[in-house]
Amino acid sequence: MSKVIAVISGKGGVGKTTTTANVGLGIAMNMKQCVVVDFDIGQRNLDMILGLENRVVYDMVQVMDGEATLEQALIRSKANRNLFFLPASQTKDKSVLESAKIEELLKELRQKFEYVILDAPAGIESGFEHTIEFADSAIIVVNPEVSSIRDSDRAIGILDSKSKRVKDGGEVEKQLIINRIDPDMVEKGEMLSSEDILDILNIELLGLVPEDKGVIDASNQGQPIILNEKSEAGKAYKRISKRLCGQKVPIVQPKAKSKGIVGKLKGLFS
Amino acid sequence: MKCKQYTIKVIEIGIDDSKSVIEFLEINYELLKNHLLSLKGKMDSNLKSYLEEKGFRYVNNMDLPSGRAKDITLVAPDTNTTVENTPEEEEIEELYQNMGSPLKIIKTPLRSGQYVEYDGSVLITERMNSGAKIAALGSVIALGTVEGDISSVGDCIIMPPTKRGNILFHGVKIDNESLKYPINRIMFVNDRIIIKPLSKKEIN
Repeated sequence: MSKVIAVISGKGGVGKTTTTANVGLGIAMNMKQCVVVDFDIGQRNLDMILGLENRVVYDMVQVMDGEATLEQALIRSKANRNLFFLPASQTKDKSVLESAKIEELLKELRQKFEYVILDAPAGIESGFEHTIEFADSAIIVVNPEVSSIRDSDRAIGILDSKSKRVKDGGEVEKQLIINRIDPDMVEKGEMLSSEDILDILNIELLGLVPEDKGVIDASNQGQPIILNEKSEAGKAYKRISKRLCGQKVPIVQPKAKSKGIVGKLKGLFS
Repeated sequence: MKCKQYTIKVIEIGIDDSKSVIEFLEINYELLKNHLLSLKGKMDSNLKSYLEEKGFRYVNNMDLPSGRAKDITLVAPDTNTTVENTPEEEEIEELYQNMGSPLKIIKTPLRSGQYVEYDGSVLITERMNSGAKIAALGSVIALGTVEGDISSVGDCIIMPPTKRGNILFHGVKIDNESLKYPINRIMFVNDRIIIKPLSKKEIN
């Protein structure tokens, strides 16, 4: 039984691609065959975050158009043998996507992998609609701020009306990741609490990821933060990946650090 | 020294004759009671005593600092006199009479961008998120949190207080601060919009 999961957010810059990379790697670390697919045609980033940019030869659009085989386009991750990556085309734009071709591609991926994770583009335009069209479930990534929450609320609304599963009378499973939580600000009441966000969006919680400056460096290095044993965000992504693999892992509330998170992080990367 | 900045709502009203102003204020009391009235024109003793009796806060012919102004639609004093019925109004009137028969029940949360337009009354049991909208020719009853917009031309709107929602009852913008009860009922009584608390008993 394979599962197609779309990672969506509505708003850009909340951490969709970072989440896709880390969750994909996390699932692979749990000994599952996993592929991450960059659906952000024309603005691909996932290759860099996975540290695979110099390995891209063929892309997803070429596979869909029959110019390359899936085997030729799939790139195996250096970090884990169970993880594969299917890059987006950087030279084309989102208008090249066609439902029938996407369905065909996903069918092929379903046969090879247990988990197919799609990194959706920001926004709610055609590229987004094509990403969610054939997904079995969705991971919604939000930041604890009102604009991100409203945009993801809108994205969930579209997911609930335009996905094939819903049109066939079914339901798309929806799970929430609250990313970039600043525990200090939550404690002071300056940031929306997880309870408030869950109350507004009314979907199941998949995980809480604290703000971690190490994520930026990890992305720049092409080494997803999940590989960093000491990072709180990395640990959070590990727990999320286990939950996605069916394990029961309790939700951990990010805690404010008394000594200051910056100092600790400086220690990590020096 | 303590110094605070406040933003207040000001309604500017030009006085043609004091009788129509009193009538106007009477009808829109619920909407205007929390505003500062800036009255332009000559005030007579009738108007003055009415304003004091009702506890309106007002200034007369004062040069206020300029702010952002918007034209607002309020119930005009002459709505109860017969207006020529356009077909649309007849339609609304007819549905208004049949209130209760067409009823739409929404049991899922209404998300941003979702728009429910209905020819009858609407009951929503879940929350309405910021950016969602309900427009009903009948009444609207919202049991969950309301952050979206509601527009009703029916008998009443029943809803909890809202900070962000834009509530229109028969085209009249309801001041969010007027919705101060746990459950509010916005309705007409003698052609005046009033907001009453709704007791638990009545819901059942």
